[in-house]
Amino acid sequence: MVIQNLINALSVGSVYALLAIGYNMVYGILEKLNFAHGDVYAVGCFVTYALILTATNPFIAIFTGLVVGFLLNLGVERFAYRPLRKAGRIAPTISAVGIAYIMRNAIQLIWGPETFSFDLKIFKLSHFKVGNTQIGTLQIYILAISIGLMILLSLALKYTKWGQAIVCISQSIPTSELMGIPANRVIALVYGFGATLGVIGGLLFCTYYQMIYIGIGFAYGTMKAWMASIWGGIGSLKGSVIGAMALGISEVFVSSYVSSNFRDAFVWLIFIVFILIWPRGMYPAQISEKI
Amino acid sequence: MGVIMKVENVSKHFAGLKALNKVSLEINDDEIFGIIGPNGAGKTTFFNVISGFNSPTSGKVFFAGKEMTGSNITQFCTRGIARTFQNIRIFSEMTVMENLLVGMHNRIHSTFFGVCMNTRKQRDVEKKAADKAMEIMEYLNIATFANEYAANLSYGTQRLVEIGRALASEPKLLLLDEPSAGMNQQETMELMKLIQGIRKLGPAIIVIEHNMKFMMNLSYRIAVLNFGELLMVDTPKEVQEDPRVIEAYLGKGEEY
Amino acid sequence: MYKINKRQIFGFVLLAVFCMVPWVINNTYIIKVISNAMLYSIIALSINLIVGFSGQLDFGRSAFAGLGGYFSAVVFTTYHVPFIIAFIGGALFAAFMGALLGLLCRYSSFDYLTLITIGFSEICRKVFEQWYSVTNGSFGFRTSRPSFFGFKFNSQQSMFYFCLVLLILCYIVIRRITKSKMGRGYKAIRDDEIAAAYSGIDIKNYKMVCFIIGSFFTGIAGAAMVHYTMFAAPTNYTIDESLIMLQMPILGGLGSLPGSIIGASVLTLLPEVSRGFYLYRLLFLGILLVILMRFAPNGLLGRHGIKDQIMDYISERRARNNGKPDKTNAEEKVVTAHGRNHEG
Repeated sequence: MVIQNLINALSVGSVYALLAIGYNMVYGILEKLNFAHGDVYAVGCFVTYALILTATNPFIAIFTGLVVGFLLNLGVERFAYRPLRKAGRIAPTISAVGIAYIMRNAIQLIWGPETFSFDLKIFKLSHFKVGNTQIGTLQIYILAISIGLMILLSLALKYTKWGQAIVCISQSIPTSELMGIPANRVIALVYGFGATLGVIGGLLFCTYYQMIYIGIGFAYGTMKAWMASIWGGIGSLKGSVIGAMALGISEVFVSSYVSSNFRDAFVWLIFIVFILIWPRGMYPAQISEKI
Repeated sequence: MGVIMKVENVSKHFAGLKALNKVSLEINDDEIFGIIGPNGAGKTTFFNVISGFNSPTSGKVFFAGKEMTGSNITQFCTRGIARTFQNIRIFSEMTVMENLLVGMHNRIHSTFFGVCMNTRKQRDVEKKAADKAMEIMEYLNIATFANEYAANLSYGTQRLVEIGRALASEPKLLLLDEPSAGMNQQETMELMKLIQGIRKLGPAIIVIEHNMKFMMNLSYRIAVLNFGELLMVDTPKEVQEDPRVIEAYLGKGEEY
Repeated sequence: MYKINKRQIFGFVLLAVFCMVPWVINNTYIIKVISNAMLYSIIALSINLIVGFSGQLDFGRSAFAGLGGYFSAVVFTTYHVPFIIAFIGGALFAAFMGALLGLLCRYSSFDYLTLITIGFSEICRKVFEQWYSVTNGSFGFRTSRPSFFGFKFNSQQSMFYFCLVLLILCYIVIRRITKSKMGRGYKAIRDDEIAAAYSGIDIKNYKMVCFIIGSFFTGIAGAAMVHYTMFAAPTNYTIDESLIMLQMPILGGLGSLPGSIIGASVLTLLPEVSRGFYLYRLLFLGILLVILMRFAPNGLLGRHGIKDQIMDYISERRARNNGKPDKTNAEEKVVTAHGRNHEG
């Protein structure tokens, strides 16, 4: 039973991890709360869903969803975030809330507030048993994809020119501009890829729960990704995966051993206690204030 | 004459970097004390350590006759330290008047009840504080900007507001971190007179500055820091002629 | 004692006209909407104190309205405590929970506060929903109208005055706080924490106290709302509700108290104007927020908000038409834009 729970927890965690990686990239670099992350990628997921309904090749549908998420966030960054980059912390957050509203309402107007069943049609879903424990192939895929993406991203950040540019910008935007890094373009790309990762995560989330609805954006996307990012450490890719796992584990274990009614409340409680004890997360990035 | 600030063997390390290394100093309560040194010599770190922003890795800080090692900024301020910053830090979305009133924070004694009921006592306290702030503004020649938002002021005026805010707290010791940065010759001279005037009002003053001429004319004594080490403390004249100081600034003679 | 100036006279006249509203308008629906707007104004004021003055972004305000409301309703209806005690008790309970949360937040930074408040509001909502024996769960809790010493506020008119008096009291107290040493301390913390610390402000305590005071007012408004509608349901205290509440002071202008009332009025009246609007509500709000943040982050009446920008524009035009040289033009602009005091 414990092992079964653990396996479920890991797969829930790895779904959250994908959402969190995209979120944490933006969060770590600009230290801005991206309140619209979830709702932006939700649009991408819904586009994929709509295309799959029209019997398009699933890969084309997924690709279109990714591109839509990417472009959408580019636009959002250009119009809602970039002009506010120097405007303190409240204004960009509120602007992001505005974007989240727009996206949510757009989804609601186009697709409606209902829950739809969702199937990507590229994973063959089957289960196998190890002893008493049931493992779904999908769970393994999801775990593999999230860890793979995390490793890929860390390598890209470390060994590519663009990756290094991103790291520079996270240290200081003016200095990187002086070094000839096109900061605006790089930041826009980070937002774009953040949304793309979000769409991947969102699609896997929908596949895992076999449904898609408007809440995948905010309730699952933004909130869980945000929690996972802080739990693991702002700006750390490894941290976001571990934080997401911690989130998944606490969710599954709370709902099976404590109370499924109070699941969210308890997880929040655990989370709040945790960040009060480790305010910088498990893998903190070094930030110090200067006079 | 007495010692207002005493620093004993203070070191501050940042992850292996020795920003300050066993610095010992005594600052009298009636002097303008200068600190000079090349970039990265630990001057601002010294200010941070003696005002509670950082606590020293080792060593002791005494202020106004009491050991204050490890105290936080608020405790230092309550005891009588005020400072200005290298990069101006004023409350930009508040008026100049409010900026000075914030500086007076610990001198205004109002109760929560008094505030809610707007009692006569509360009104008197506020009135007195406003009068005092006006006095300081007049002294600094910024009274015309009293109701102006600080963000709209010129750089030089913002500096004055910052100094005004520090003065408003009636400090025993005033720390000025590069007050003449970004000022022209004439403004610098005016600032010098202003600082000398402030000294006569009461507080001891420690100044960090790069402008040598300014420092030599202003300070009674000067400390020279280099790579976190205290090179020497002496009168401006002695400091100016000391070969170690010249070396710290220009490098060793033989290398050229 | 007080010097009365033009502004105050204008204010009194406005107030007197406003007091006549229940006598002139017989439509109880309109009175109900206005009363509702007044109660939301109190919440907007309390949020302004927390977000606009001390610069802490709080996304969980509705939880405090809920805490105040449920406490007051349960104590009043189930335990038959006199109304006034239950009512103030609700506010104090919200303030107490605010103190607990504030105590936790002493150890955390800006983003964490935002997240912790969301978490807290989620926990509260779950408790409202699941604690059947006390709150009657998701069916909602029924309570009754306020009553003072035998006088029961049964009619819409009487509730109108109840809300009005409450709003005026809260407004005066909050205004006095913001004008005092405390208010300046909050603003200093918002503008520059390090400089504030060097002015001798105990930042952590100040933030916590601000949070407590804000929670008190949110709680009192929440309690009044519950007694007004005679009903409390967990669905009224969601994050979305918090976000709407947060937008009121932002629309009106952070740091401007009259702005909060205007913002609250606009956002409560707007959905009532047309029911069809509900479908596009979020879209409208979203576009509004994005544009507002882009061009006037301080809302309608905040510093250099929309009102100031319009005034600037007008005075600039006027100066140009008079053919004044450029220099005086610029000076005049500064005076008109910033010579006033915005919190009054």
